Order: sequence, then structure tokens, then C-alpha cells
Amino acid sequence: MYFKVLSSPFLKPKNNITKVMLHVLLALLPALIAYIWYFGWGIFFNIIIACLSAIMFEAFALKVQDKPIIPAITDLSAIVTAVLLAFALPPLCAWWITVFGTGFAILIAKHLYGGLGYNIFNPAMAAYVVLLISFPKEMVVWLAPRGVDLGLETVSVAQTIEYIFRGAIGNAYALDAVTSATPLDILKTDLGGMQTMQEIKTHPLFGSMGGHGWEWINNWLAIGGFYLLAVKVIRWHIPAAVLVSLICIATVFNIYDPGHYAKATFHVFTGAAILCAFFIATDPVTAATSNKGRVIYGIGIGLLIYIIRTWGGYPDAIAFAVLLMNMCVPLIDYYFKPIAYGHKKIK
Amino acid sequence: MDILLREAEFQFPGGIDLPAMKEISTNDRIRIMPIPSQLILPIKQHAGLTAKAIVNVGDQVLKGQLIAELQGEVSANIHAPTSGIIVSIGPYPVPHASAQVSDCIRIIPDGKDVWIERPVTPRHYQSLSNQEIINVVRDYGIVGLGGAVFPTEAKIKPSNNNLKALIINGAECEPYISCDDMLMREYGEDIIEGIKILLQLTGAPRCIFAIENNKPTAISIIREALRDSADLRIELFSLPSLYPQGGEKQLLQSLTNEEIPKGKLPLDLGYLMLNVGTVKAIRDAVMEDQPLISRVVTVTGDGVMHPQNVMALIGTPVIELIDFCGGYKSKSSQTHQLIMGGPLMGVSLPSDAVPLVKAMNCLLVASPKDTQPQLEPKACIRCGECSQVCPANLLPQQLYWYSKSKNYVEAERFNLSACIECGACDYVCPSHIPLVQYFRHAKGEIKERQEQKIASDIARERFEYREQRLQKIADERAAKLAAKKSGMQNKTQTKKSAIDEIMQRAKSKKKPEEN
Repeated sequence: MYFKVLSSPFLKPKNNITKVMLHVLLALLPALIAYIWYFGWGIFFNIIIACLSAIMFEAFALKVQDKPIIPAITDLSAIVTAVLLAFALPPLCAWWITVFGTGFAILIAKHLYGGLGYNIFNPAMAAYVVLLISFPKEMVVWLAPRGVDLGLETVSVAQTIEYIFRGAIGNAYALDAVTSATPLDILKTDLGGMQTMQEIKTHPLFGSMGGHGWEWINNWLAIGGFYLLAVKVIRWHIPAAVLVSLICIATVFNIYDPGHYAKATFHVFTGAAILCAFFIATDPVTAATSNKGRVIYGIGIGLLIYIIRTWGGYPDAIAFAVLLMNMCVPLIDYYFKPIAYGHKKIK
Repeated sequence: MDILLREAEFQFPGGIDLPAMKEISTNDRIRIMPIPSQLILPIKQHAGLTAKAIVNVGDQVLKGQLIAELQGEVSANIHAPTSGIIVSIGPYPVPHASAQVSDCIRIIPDGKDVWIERPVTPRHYQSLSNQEIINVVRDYGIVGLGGAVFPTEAKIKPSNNNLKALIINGAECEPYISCDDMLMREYGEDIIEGIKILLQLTGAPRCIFAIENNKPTAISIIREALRDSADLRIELFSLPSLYPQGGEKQLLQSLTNEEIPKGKLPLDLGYLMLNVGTVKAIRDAVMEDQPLISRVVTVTGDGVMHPQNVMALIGTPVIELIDFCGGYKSKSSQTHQLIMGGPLMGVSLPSDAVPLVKAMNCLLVASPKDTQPQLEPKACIRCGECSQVCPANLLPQQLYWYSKSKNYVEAERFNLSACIECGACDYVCPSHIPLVQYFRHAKGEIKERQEQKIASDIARERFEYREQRLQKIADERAAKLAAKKSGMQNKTQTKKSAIDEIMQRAKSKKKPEEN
């Protein structure tokens, strides 16, 4: 009898990209529910708009390049990018901002660099930075989290949809009546206004550890992150390096001058530090690949987050920190190789 | 006295958990297969130089008779597995990774199974000198039966001094394969006796017998045999079941935490490592004067009727081996694969006309349930899972990148040559990239380039030497010519001067007349 001849190994592979991406989406689910609870349905609509436009842009990019469309869309990588971007957007966000953002992420940050696996910059973060720089006013339309009384009106689902598609709620003043600054904004402006940390922390937006509401979303994100660690979609090196370095530098400055520098817990549980540590910095394509390299990469992100948050022009710094470290990845990969078997220097 | 079962203290980096799949072939005892209708013996079944056939077509041979003789330092003898007639010597399909056909000696058995004359009295290894034992191992064609088929004599000969330990490899980490497991279960005492022979031969102070912990029966039988033998030099170690635990380098690392430096052998660190099957073969050769003419092979997989372990003669056609195990489950081979070895490092065979060779520890008739036809590879997402599982501590995704772009200089800088082609990276790759295929190809290219470079270096040297030689000849000739010329010139000059002189004289003679 004759048989077909293949090259070893012959075993069925254990994994596929779709499975990996599904794990990531699943891990984001608890945080998404918390997000909706605290900030309303805005993110939900943002995710839907982002996903639909991401699929559209992905299909377009592949069609133009004459590449097969179905396998690339079913690998869900574009969906993950879209969802992560939606997590970074404010809950009230005009539809065209979301579409513009995903377009930039998919077409420019991803496909112009060669598509999945070849992009240097994290597409979601690149898009976020473009939006932040291009539409600074629209990008800071945050709501007060549920349970915080700032004398603001709550936004209904209908109003959310109205804002997303019309760019306004009712009359021109209504928007001011519902939006609020983020805790990181407040920290930045109030510190600039020569207030001390103790005074700033009395603001109702601040919770026990980080921002009110934010700390709970971050808890759920961390749980999602631990799930990803458990199913080995990500490894511990990057999240640990990001968080430990952020905690270390924040603690050092907090001890030096507690009146001017926020506590480490505040930095970890406010803003997107945890989202970054577990979901964004761990994007395999744009991160370093060796374990040692990943630790260096993570430390770089952690330190940059603190530096930009504390002394930079923007209240949050995740996207900038990640993109800056993305640029260093080829260098890190070059210098931090594991020592191959049998290549140890003999003493 | 109770024998301690210790656990390996260290761990090699990476590795993958795999379903063992061994239970499907370990239900029955090892069955001995009767003499097949013909025997096909490739004259190269080992690493090193090809043996030379010393029989002719039409010759009558006896069981155990030498039919192909080793050549050089690293080579192995080949013996007739039964008595019969040599019907042909020539190219025949063989199971090999690179060669499709190779020279084989074909024997039609006469069915009498008559042994060649052997010493009558059973031997005692204690009374044999080291040289005598080494001679037996060489003469009887013993090679490593773990799959590498390295001639054992070449391994044990230089191991006489300063050996730290003898390591017996009973890990058998690849899925499906169970021949070592069964051998340990059924021939535990023989293996221990083989170890004692090797301890006497090498003078090693201790022996580490290592078995993966997914073989509890084998471990308990070996433990029993060790208790009976009461030899305190032999220590039993259990290893975690983690592929590729049984690789020479990985096993050494798990047991001693030592790495074999690039370009060195375990022997350079003071370790001699042998597979349990090889130890049994050495014992049979020394104690029973039996050359390596049969081996245990696992015939398994979803495509074969009764998976089991078979003791068969070397040279048995694979088709007859499969028939002995109940034949194929399905008559169509479209979706099936025939694999020599395991599903990770095995060799895909094109046909079942090939014979059983010394290297064949397993014959896997794989249905789509067992293995997967190659999937369409997607782009590398740099997830790094491959480097997490790499036992050689490499960055396979970087190697893939450089191998694919044919940047072999960079591939070597990332230590491609340290890759043992275990296939762990392939198994975990979510993009289904055939990494090992790329690495194998790149290694082949690098080797070819090196060979070409050596060849061109030699050619250049020869050319330069020839140029030099021609130049030298030309110079010499020129020098000679110049010498001759100057000689001639001298001569002509002297001649000229002589003529001038004469002319002068003539003139001077004439002059007074004029005057």
C-alpha cells in the first residue's frame, strides 16, 4: 500500500489563533459588564460600531491586497483590536470617531505594516493616540460613574444613542450637565492648582483605592487577566513587570512627598493601568518575545506610564507608554536572547 | 533491602504535555513473530559508514552469519536473521528520512532456522576482559536502539576512564511508542544484567536508570529486579512525563543539571548514555552470543487492527508485520499515514514494501484520528509559545523569520544548530506554521553552503597552488632562458670580439702594406 509522505511532526496542533482571541474576548467580559454598570450603555454601542467597522475595514484591506478574507476575519484579531479601542474610548463617543479610530487601527497601523503579525505598533493604541491628538475635546467626554453624586443628570440609553449618532443630546447645554472629568484629569489639574493629595482625594470621584467605579472595573479586568494567565494565553512576565515597576516608582515618589505624588494603589486602580498590563501590553505581535525581553519591555511601560502621568501633558499615558516601548521591541529582541542549550559560558 | 525510587531533581527548560497514547499497544505481552516470507537487509542501518556485503547471490547463509562487514571506525556488522538463500543484492526501498532506495541483501528463508556454529558453553561476563566485551559488541552489530542507531562500540570504546555515571534511558517520552516500556516489563532482569556488564566494562561508579513516571508497571518491575540483584551501584530515578524528556540532552539535564557544551558529547562530561533496548542487545550478545538480528517494535495507531508490540526479525517486510497485527483497518490509504517512529520525530514512509530496520522502534499507522494533515499556516503572531516550550532555549519565531527569508547568518546567530527538531514548537503554534520543516531546510542549506565553501576553498587552494607551480615553472624556465640568452650573448660577444680582433689584426696587417 502507498501512503502520503509528510514532514514531521505529525501531531494535531494544540491551538489556533481564533481560540487565543476568543479567550481574550471572554476575559474582557466581566469588566465590560462592570463598565456598563458604572458608565451606562455607551461602551456597548461603541463596541458594536467598532466591531462592525473593523470587519469592514479588514475585509477591504484584504480585498485590496488579494488576500483570502474569511480566514483573516474568523481569526478574530480585528475584533479584539476593535473591542480594546472601544474600552479606551469615552462612553459617550460620536460614531464617526469610533469608525475613524478603527479605520486607522486596521488600515494604517495594521495593514500598511503588512497585516497581522507584522505591525510594529499596537493598532488600538495607535488609533487611540491619533484620536486623542485629533479630537481632544470629543475624547474627554466622560460621565460620572454610578453612585457618585456630582449633581449631574444621568444619561438614558436613548440619549446615549442620540449622542452617538447626532453628536449632541437635546440642546447644546445638556452635554455639560452630564459629563465629568476623570479622576486622573482632576489629579492633574488640581495638583497644578497647588492642592495637596489629601485635598484632592476628598473629591467624590475618588474611591477607596483609585477612582470610584474605576477601581471595580479594574478589579474585573485583573480577574480577566488572571484567567488569561491560567489558560496560558499570556505569560506573567509583562503584566508583572508593568505593575511592579509602576508600583515601585509611585511608592518611591509617594514616600518622598505624599502631598504631591499619589499612592501606588491610586496609579494602579485608576485609569487603564490594569487594562494595559493584562490586555494591551501583552499584545504578542507588538511585544518583546523572550521572557527577559518581556520583563524589560514591561518595566519600560510601567515607568513611562508614571513619568507621563506625573510630568507629561496628558492625564493618562497608557497609549503613549505602549507605543514608545513598541518602538524599542526590535532592539530588546536583539539584545535579550535566552542562552541556547549548550552555549553557556564555561567558568 | 528496598530499592529507593528517586525523582529527578532538575528540569530541562520548556517541554510539552502530551497524551501518552501508549495504553493502546500495551495490553498484550510482546508477541514473537514467525519467520516472514523474505528478509530485506539494508547494508546501511546505522549511523556512520555503510557496511560492505561479503556474500554473493545464491549463497546459502545460516542464522547469525555475518553477511555485511563494518567499514572503518564508526560502522556496524549485519547478520543473517535466519538461515536461507541470498536471492539478490541491490537497490530496494528502505525506511529512511532522506534515501528512498538503498542497497539491500535479500534472503529467502529456508524455514529451518539453523544457527551458525556458536560457543557451546554459556559465558560468564565476569571472566571476559574489556577488550573481549568490546569485540563482542562490535562483532555482533550492536547499535543504539533508541532511534539514532549509533554503533555502540564507538560509544563504549573511549568510555573507559573517568566515567562519572552510566545512564540508562528508559524515558520513552514520545506518544504511541511502547517498545521500551514492554521490554522493561518483560526483560527487566536481562536489562539489569546488561547494566552490570557495562558497569564492569566502563568502571563507572554508579548507574542511573531513568524511567518516565507514566510507566508505573515498568518502574515496579525494574525495582523488583534491582532488589533481587542487590547491586547498590544502580539507582532508579523516575522522571516527570514531559516531552522530550527522553532526548539525550534533556535527560542529562533532568538528572544532573549539566548541559553538553556545543560540539561536545555526553562522554566529554563523563556520562555514557544508553537506551534500555541497547542494553538488552548488549546483554544478549555477551551472554548468549546473539547478534542483533531482531528487535521489539511497537505496531500501533488507529489504522492497524490489533496494536501491539512485536519481536520481529530485522529485515521483516513492514507489510507482513502489519498483517501479523491483523492488517490495516481500512483498505484505502488516502487519509492514512505510515510513520517510522513517533508522531513528533518520526519519518513518514511512502510504502509498506520497506523492511524493519534496527532503527525502527515504532510503526505508526496513523488515521486522521491520530495525526493531522498539514493545515494552512497563518501569519506568526509572535505569541512566543514556541520559545516557552523549546527544550533548547531557542526563539523559534526568530529562527522561523530568518529561515524563511533565507538569512542563514542571522539564523546561526540565533543558534539554529542547537535545535533538536523535537517538534514541540510546531505543536503549540496557534498559526500552524511548520516550524521544524523550515529549520530542517535551513540546516540543510547551511550544511550545503559549508560543504560548498569547503569544496571551493579546496578548489581555490588547488588553483592557487597550481598557479604557483606554473609560475615557478615559468620563472625557472625564464631564468634558464635568460641564463642561456646571456650565455649566448657572451658567446656572441666573445665571437664578435674575436672577429673584431681578427679584423683589427687584419687591418693592422693591411695598414703597413698601404703605408
